[in-house]
Amino acid sequence: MTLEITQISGFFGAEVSGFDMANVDDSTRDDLRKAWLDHKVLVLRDQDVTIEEHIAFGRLFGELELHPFTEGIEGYPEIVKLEAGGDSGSRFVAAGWHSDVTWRAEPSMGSILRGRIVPDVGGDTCFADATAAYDRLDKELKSIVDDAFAIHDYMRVFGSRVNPAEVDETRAKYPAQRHPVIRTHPETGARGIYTNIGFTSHIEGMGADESKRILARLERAMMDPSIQIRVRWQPNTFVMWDNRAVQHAASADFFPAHRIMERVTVIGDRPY
Amino acid sequence: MIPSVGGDTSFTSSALAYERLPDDVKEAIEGRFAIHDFSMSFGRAMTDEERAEQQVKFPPARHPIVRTHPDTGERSLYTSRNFVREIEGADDDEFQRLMDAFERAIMSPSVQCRVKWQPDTFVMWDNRAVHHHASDDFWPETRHVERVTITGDRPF
Repeated sequence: MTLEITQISGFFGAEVSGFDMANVDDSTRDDLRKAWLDHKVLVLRDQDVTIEEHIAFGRLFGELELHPFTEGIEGYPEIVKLEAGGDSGSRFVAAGWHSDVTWRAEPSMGSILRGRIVPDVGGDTCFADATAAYDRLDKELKSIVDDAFAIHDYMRVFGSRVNPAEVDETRAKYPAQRHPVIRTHPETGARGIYTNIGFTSHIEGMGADESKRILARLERAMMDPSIQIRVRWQPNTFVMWDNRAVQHAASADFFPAHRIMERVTVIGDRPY
Repeated sequence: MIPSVGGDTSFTSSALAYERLPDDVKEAIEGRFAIHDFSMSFGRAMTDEERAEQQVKFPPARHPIVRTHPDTGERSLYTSRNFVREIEGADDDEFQRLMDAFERAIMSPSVQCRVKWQPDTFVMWDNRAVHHHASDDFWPETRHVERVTITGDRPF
């Protein structure tokens, strides 16, 4: 099968069709892997597959993570279910710019997200090219962040979900992590911004004020629409993104409508 | 003339951006004014002489930071890095802090939409209700767009 690939923006992102997620042969998998590295975010439409097929598709690209702090689906621990609006009682939407699970020692390589129930309007997911954002930093800021490290901590976002009796145990299992502020992509060699306001507590060796100011400037760089794309969901849309190359944010503009997303997350390696 | 890819225009709801501001920022800007100056953006390519001449014709304008839409009554953020030179009564530190807070609210994906152009696409927007931004991600392709602009009234 030959993939049909249509670029979404000048920097990154592509709509990919011409294949069936449930029937991917080796050569199609290799083509997808290459397209994923080239375009960083792939949008797949009208893929009417089962949960098992979603999980199997994820495994084509590596081992899958189990997320300790999010609700899954009974019998499918690999699925992270993200639900908000409707009768769910939740209004939590990951609306801040981030790369997934940067609080892990070996954060995710990639995520493959399905729109299960999508609002008629709203709930788009936006992506930002971490390398294009880095390239646009001014020289002075680059010289400050180029060799710096930052501390990432899940407690900032998921702290309230941890059972108070298990705080110490959870902390021992998932200690705060130190990652480079500017990460080098292990396959393409591209350098990109790897901090986010959600999980990053501070930059090492900097006063609290300066650290906050620098993190805000890095966030500002990610917020430039020129280095972004915006994906509109339909039922059976899947989006796969490279967490080493992009950040993303969901649009919290759809309440009171209901939105359910299902994600599998491919394990990555230690950032450098 | 539209690039084969890129050059999208993004829009922000200025009212939703205002709502998203932290409470202390909302309090700090209530009733205050900003000075808008074309020379911050369009003036940069002019010679000193041209700029001086244009500044006589188009002196800096003083507008409320939070504007009220004259037709809908909606209150919205009415500032931008391109044109706002100063905030009345703000020193450098406060100016930067407020502009950063405005920008963070304006640039939130949750209050935006994004338009992909095709030849003969038209977009009409209400400058009293939205901000907009063009993506410069299409080099070396050419992007040629044409605009007519409807006169408005004095912001209040």
